[in-house]
Amino acid sequence: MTLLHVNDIGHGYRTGGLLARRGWLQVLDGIQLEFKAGESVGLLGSSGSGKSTLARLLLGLETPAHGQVTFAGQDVSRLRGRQAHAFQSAVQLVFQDAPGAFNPQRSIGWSIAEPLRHLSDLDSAARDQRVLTLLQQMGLGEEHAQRLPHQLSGGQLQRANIARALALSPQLVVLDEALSNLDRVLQLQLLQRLEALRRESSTAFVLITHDLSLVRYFCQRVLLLDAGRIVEDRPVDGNLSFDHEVGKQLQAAMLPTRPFKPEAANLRTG
Amino acid sequence: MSVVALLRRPALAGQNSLMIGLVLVSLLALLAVFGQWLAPHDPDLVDLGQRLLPPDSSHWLGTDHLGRDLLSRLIVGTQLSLGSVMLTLALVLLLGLLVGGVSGFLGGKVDLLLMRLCDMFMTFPTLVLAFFFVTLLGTGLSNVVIAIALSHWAWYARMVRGMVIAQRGREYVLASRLAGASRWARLRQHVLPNIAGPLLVLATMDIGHMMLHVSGLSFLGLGVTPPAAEWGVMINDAKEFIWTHPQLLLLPGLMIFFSVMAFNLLGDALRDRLDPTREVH
Amino acid sequence: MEHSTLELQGLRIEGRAGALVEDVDLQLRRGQVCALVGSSGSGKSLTCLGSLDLLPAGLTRTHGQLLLDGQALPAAQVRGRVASLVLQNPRSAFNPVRNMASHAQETLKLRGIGGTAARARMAQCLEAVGLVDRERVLQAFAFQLSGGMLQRMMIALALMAQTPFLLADEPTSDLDALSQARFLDLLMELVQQHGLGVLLVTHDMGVVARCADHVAVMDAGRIVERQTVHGLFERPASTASRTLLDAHQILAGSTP
Repeated sequence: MTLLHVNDIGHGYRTGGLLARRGWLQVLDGIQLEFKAGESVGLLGSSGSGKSTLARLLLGLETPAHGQVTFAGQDVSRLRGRQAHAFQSAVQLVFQDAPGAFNPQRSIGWSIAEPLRHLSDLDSAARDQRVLTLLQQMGLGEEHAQRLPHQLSGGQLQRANIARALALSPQLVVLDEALSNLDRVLQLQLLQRLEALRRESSTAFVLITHDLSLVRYFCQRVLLLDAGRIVEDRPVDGNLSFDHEVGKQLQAAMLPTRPFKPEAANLRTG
Repeated sequence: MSVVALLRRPALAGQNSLMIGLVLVSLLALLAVFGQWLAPHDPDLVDLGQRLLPPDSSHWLGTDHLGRDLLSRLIVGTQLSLGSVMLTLALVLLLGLLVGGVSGFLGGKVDLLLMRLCDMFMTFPTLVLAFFFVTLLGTGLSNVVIAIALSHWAWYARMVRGMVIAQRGREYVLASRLAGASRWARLRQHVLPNIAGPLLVLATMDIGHMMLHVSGLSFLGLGVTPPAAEWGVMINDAKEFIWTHPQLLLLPGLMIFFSVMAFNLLGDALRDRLDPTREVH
Repeated sequence: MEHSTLELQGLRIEGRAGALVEDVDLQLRRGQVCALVGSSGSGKSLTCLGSLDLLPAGLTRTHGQLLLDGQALPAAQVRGRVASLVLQNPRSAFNPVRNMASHAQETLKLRGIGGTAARARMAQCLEAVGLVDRERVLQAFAFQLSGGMLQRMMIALALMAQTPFLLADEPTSDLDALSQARFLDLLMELVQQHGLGVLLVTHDMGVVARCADHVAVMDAGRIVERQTVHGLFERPASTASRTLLDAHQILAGSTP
């Protein structure tokens, strides 16, 4: 079942202004995609490839200059009222910058419960219970619910961020470089939890990243984004190797598993 | 950090500016509220036989040109001078928040319209505008308050709008939008609380400035009129005695000076404390 | 080669809650990369900053000294003369209202180089780090350059300062995969060609595998393991290093 349709999306921004010549910066061009239930898709690209813009368009936070993103047949950027709520309950986003994604004056528990307050019928006690369940799911404890954002580490905040996105058991979660600022150990832990969730609840994930190793571990399918266009779309299997130039570059950029330098040279200078 | 959190923090000791500022402001507040009972004499009691006396055991600061006790008038004057400023500030903040908040959050045509309105008010220097409104409305304290509020609100509206626009794009506001919060809920729960702190600091620093306007207008005979005990009025009354009895001008002047200083210290210290980049250990 | 070793001895950093870093010794040699690795909160960044007395407010270095070729030297003399610093967030290291040329001139002036000689040196260093569009970069302000370019600019400044050693605190954590690869290639080139001695603080075993000769593993503010890079990957001795290696190897694909 297709959850989100991306129909020939094109988007850009006006540049220039008072002191510079006006121009148009094309950020995305001719994007045609489908996201299906229970699937984990990787959206791979370097900075400037347009992936964050695509994330915002997928969630209806901006209206594309050209084309549409549709959910249940409706344009996501024009949803209002009940339809908007239905969409928000089904599709969620996790931001890259965890500290910025929380109101600095509100407790973590309050922020995580926000979607529950606006989009569900749960009463106060039920909401508190749900928040605790979500925290536990992400490896956080009861005590974290009362704390303020600045009292949690970056890794803990990002886990809370994901917990909030999962509050209403969405069908699709977009992770916009959500794991990029975390260390490897935490990245692995979170991907393992998300994979478990995918198997249990058929939650679909879109992992937007520049890190091929995460895609290789977690995703079933990968879309390669370069200069605003999808240049390759392939399943993730054993030896992931790309045809496109940018894909090859990203592969070559992967850090080695084992030490790069020959051992003999080390002994000589060491 | 929120204003409430700031006030709840126990660690105020060692913060000199904040302490001094708070102490002075509290003293002024006390005087304003309990002035009538703290004043040793009736501030309006005219006794021409006792005029222009130097300080003595009965009149600690002496008397003015109409025989009224200076100390009592200074104390009671706090109510008018401070009270009117607070009222003005409240009005300015209300108007500024309303217009700036709506403008910044809704954007588009509403923003354009409201900002043009602000521009009209901002074209003139605040004092000139205040004069204009007083001329329109007439003299008297309430009109002075309205006049000064009307001449200042536009600057606050612009400031609030800037802050709101900055907050609007913050990711937690976007997260709130994705969580299904309405525009009003986002403005109320996320944007406004996070601008309250910096706004409070700016307002506190501006109190001094507004105090000078209120006293200034009263000094010019446009605000509070004699025989009311208000520091600006007192200075105006004592104009002719500047060479013979300078204390009649200096003392109310000093009250204004200390009030302005107190609020500036408070505002300064608040700004340092509310600085989000400050390390909290 | 002059100035061949830089040692940090007995570093201890205290905050309000107690010691955050204790009893840390590190040795840097010219032409070699020493990686300081640990998970978040292990104290590795603090060690890097603390050794040069650049700690944030509220934290103090209560113990520790720097030795250049065995001679004790105060941190103030090491900074900028013996060792340069590259930070995780390059943007924060640049004055937002001054352009790159202005930063370069400041660095070169401290070395007593000015005028045309300075211009020539700037060109040389920018080329060495692969910033080819020289004039544009020099005229640019920090906000006009990408994170990757700013990191290279920091290395260029380090080259201009002609310091034999470089302390890099998670220099690639904020960069995307391609920029990271290019930066590390550059770093290794400089180590080999100019004999730069590097302390590379990182949480990523991939970076260690790519660059390091020696590795010191930190956990809870202490050094828990010291090995050559090969030794560490083959026979990790501490829990901390095993955890990091496992995660790295699973994600890098060698263990499913």
